[in-house]
Amino acid sequence: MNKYKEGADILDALKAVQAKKGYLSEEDICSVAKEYGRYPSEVYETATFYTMLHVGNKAEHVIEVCGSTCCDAGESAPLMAALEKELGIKAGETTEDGKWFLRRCECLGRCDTAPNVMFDGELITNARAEDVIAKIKAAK
Amino acid sequence: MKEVRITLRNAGKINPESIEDYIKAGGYEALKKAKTIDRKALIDDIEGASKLRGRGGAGFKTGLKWSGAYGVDSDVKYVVCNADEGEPGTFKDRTIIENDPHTLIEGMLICAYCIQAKECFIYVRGEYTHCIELLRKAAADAEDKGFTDGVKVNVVGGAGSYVCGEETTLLTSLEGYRGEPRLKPPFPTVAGYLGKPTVVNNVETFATVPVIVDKGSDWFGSIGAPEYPGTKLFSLSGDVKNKGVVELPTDATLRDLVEGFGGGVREGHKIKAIQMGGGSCGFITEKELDTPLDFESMRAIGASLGSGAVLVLDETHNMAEFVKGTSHFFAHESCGKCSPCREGTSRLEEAVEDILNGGDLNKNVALINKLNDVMSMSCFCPLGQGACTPVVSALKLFPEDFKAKKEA
Repeated sequence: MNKYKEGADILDALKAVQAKKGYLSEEDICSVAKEYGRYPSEVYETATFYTMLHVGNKAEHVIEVCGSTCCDAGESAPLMAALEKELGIKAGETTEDGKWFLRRCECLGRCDTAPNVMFDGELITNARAEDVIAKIKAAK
Repeated sequence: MKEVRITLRNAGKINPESIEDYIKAGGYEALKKAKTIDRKALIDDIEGASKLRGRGGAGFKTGLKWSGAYGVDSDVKYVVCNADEGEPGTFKDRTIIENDPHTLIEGMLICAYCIQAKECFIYVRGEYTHCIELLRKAAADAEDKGFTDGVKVNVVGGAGSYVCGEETTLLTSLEGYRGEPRLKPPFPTVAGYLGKPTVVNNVETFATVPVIVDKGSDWFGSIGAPEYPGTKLFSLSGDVKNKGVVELPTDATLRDLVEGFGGGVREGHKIKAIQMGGGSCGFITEKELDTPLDFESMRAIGASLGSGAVLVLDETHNMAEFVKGTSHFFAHESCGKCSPCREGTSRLEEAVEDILNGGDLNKNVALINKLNDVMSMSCFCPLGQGACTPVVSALKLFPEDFKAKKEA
């Protein structure tokens, strides 16, 4: 199999596998590698490089607060602080029960509606702390 | 100054999901017209008369790029659209795709005809899920209607990486690998995707091509600034009253954009800084508001047009705090391939943080200047080469923001 020729949709393939349970396991990576005729190490390299792919991250919910320039200017820092307080963790951490993963992410390309939040892959524009906290409470 | 909609001519007027709407608005006529023209003549016309230059940020001559790929003898060639819009403050490509996906596809098909490519890829940043869906439908509809004429249009999603917006990195990512840049030359027009000649252009560039073919290169070349003609899309954000995407002829000024369309900053506030060109660019102040929005004029004042991102900051922002954010961004997005960038971006972030925490200002500024010298010369790709730019620019224009922090 020509591995190069088959590579163009490998990121989409990894995202599709991830969509089922929210993260990629080593077994997932091996099976995608097999499908594309690549070494598992190559696909592991790819999977761990991109921020939208989560290898071995088992948090049930993922909240990402955009911290890039325009959202930073749009008060994303106080928003993050409020979410850290609500969940009792710092950005980049997972709650002890493994349920919530909170992190800063980089530019989402929605700079006209800063600050922006991705809540389990769903975009929240002009995000206010109370709205995001309400969503956290609803999901708890 | 009025908005002139060339690239966004169909925005808001047609249903982006409907190919019929696009056809009714004159869509795919330019492709038909292009196919009646000799390939080389068409490329020369785009280069000579329209003077179209890439709208992604580098401003490279589109016709010259196409003629490069045209002139290489190869059985397989590719056309790739860079829709990995990751430059902070930029959201114009999303606006084009969300409003008019077919104009992008038509522009790519014209390019495919010119260079004799049989396969096209649109690499869309992973976060733009709606754009990916729209483009997949549009590509399938164009194929059903026979417009693609044997050319395959693939829509591929990224997975969250800023550096993949650099063209050689995008090609590496498209091949399914970690996003790392490649050495140039060979340029992608000689050895691109899978080592084959490849034209890589930005969404806005391709989306402008159908109008140029339709209305003529001379017409396009007569609009805006002589050396960077046509219109440019600007992503206006930050502390202005009205945010959004505005399409202006390139002889409009920054004042037309920020005050005319943005409505200026909130009452009682004033403009402190404008980050022009995107997150990797330097700042300008209110004094430069009368600069025309073209590539050369911006370069002449030491700024850059970049991707057309315009982030306006009012006096409530501390610039040292602000560039701590940009430094974090580059440290996070560095791919790690070359050590000047991998190490340099982290050292830069540390130096800015140290200033904010009351560390030795002079020592840190000396370090930042040294990092800037080394990184701008030795980093492998523009990410590292430009990582220090916002910090150095802020230090030069707003030294008091850094000093105040030290005393506080």
